[in-house]
Amino acid sequence: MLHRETVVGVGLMLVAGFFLFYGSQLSFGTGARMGPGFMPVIAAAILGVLGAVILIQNLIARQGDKLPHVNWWALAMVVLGIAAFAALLKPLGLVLASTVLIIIADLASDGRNWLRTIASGLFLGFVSALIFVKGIGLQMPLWPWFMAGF
Amino acid sequence: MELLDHIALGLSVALTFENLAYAFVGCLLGTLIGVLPGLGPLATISMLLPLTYSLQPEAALIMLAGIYYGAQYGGSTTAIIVNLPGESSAVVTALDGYQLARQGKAGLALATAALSSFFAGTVAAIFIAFLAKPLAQVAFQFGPAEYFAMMVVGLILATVLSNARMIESIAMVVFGILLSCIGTDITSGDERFTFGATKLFDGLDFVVMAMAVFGFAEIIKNLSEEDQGKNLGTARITRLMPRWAEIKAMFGPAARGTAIGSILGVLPGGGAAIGSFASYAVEKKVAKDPELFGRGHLAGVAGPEAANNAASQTSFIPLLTLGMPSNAVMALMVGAMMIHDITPGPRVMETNPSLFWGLIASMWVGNLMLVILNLPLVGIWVRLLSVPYKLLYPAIMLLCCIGAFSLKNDVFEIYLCAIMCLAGYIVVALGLPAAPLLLGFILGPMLEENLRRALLISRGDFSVLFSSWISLGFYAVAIVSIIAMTAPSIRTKREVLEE
Repeated sequence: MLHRETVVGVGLMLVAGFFLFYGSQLSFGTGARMGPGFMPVIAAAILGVLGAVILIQNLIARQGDKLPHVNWWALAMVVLGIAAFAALLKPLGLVLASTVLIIIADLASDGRNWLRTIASGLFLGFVSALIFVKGIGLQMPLWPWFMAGF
Repeated sequence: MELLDHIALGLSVALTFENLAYAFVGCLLGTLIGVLPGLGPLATISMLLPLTYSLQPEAALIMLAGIYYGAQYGGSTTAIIVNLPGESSAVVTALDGYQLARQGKAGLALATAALSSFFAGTVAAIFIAFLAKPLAQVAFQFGPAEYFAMMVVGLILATVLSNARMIESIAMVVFGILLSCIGTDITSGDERFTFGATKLFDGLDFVVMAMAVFGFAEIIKNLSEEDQGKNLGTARITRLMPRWAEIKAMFGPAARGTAIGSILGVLPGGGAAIGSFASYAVEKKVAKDPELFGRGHLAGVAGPEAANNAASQTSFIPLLTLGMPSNAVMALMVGAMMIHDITPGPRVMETNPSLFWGLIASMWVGNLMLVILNLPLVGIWVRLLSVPYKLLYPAIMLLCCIGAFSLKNDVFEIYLCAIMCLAGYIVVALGLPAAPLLLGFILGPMLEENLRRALLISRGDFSVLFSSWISLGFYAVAIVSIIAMTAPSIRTKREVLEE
């Protein structure tokens, strides 16, 4: 069975490898004149060592915590919701983009009540339009492009 | 007297109508998020940070600070009434506070919590005023090598004190430093890890990082957890005014809690939660009737409540005097100051005296507001508990997205949030500590800059890092604390504490 510690150790070493590989293509410089690659390479090396220590400790001890339960569905919906908001904000405006975000976000948890979700999405969209665009003066479109001018 | 002048200056700033209003908004929001489980000061402050661009720096910091210490008040209210600590710092308060409430003394417990917190807040504000000047004087002696040493030590202490899994915390700090390297290198102008993406030239925004990890990733984690059925029923709120004998009984614990909290708050990695745990342990030791703890002992509420409020305030000391954030909330405050072109450090007191003393004075004013907000209005807050998380988290997501957009008026930052949310959730789900990641991210550029300067002055001789007594002192503290924390006896205690 895969331990949490094994995943953490290997993961950290992968991250370290990434930064080490691309960091070493930057100029390292000398002690007196640190180049842009100095800090990333040293930090990545430390990270790699720490990852290796966690992994080796885990392999020697042959025990570790269970891998966590990952809620893939909630993760996908949250990420999708954010991305959808980003994609729709310019063409559809704040109110409708908010509604879409709220609907997708709502899918992440159990229990459906479409009417309530759509209503709360529109409501939150209107409120944030009032507070952030009319109130604070953020520059963002409120309505779809074909309704511009309202 | 100089101190009186400073206090007068501070009050004159804090008591303007605008700043009073922002302090009130901060305290109100703080209480609100303290009451609501699943929404903490970290997520709230990162959500609201971009929106403080347009405010005066004083108003922005006063409001954000109010959110932080206000959350300590709100968190203890729900801990006492429904046994649901809204914040980690209120976990201890629930032990005795809820027992008192079950005995029909909910009002007394609430009053004890609020009055002890107010007492601690007052003392801590004075403590900051006294300590700030001398500490800033010390900081003026620092060269780049000493600053580098201080940050290394600060990061190590922050990770050692706040987590039992030390290696993983340090790894997260280093990960944060690596992420901070993304973008244009200030000195050489070279791009690092941007892969030609022009929008990454300015680097990752720390607000995006904070939102992704403390906002979005936290939401997914909360959605993955089963409902904890800890709610054992709401206690009736009774007589709020304590009797004279009860006030006398709470004074000793509150005074000790204030002292413990004030000291622990200054230390890197210290903060509200550790202060309250330490105070509870001390009260149990000094009490004549330790067997009553856990069954509704007044000292078990007064001490920890005083400690967590004192600590949340004194944790501003290293930030304002040394420029060193001691925990993740303070790291966000660094960001808030940088938004307004203020570099945290010993110079803040001289270049922005109205900001510095105004912030301190506003803490005292804010504490007064919080007593009023929390005692007479407690019924409203309790009713808020029935707001289901299902309604709450989509609104949090929307606020985060709007905040991310407003950083640069660009949807790219929202896309970045989505990507960082994915990465952040992996970190959070694996149980890796997220706060050290943010600390490393904030301190990374400062570490690099000071190391570069130190080595430039010494012409590349690394011994400069260990050449002064101040630096050596810092490293000694780091080594001692690592040894102390890995010692078996303390380690087991820490693990108990985490549960």
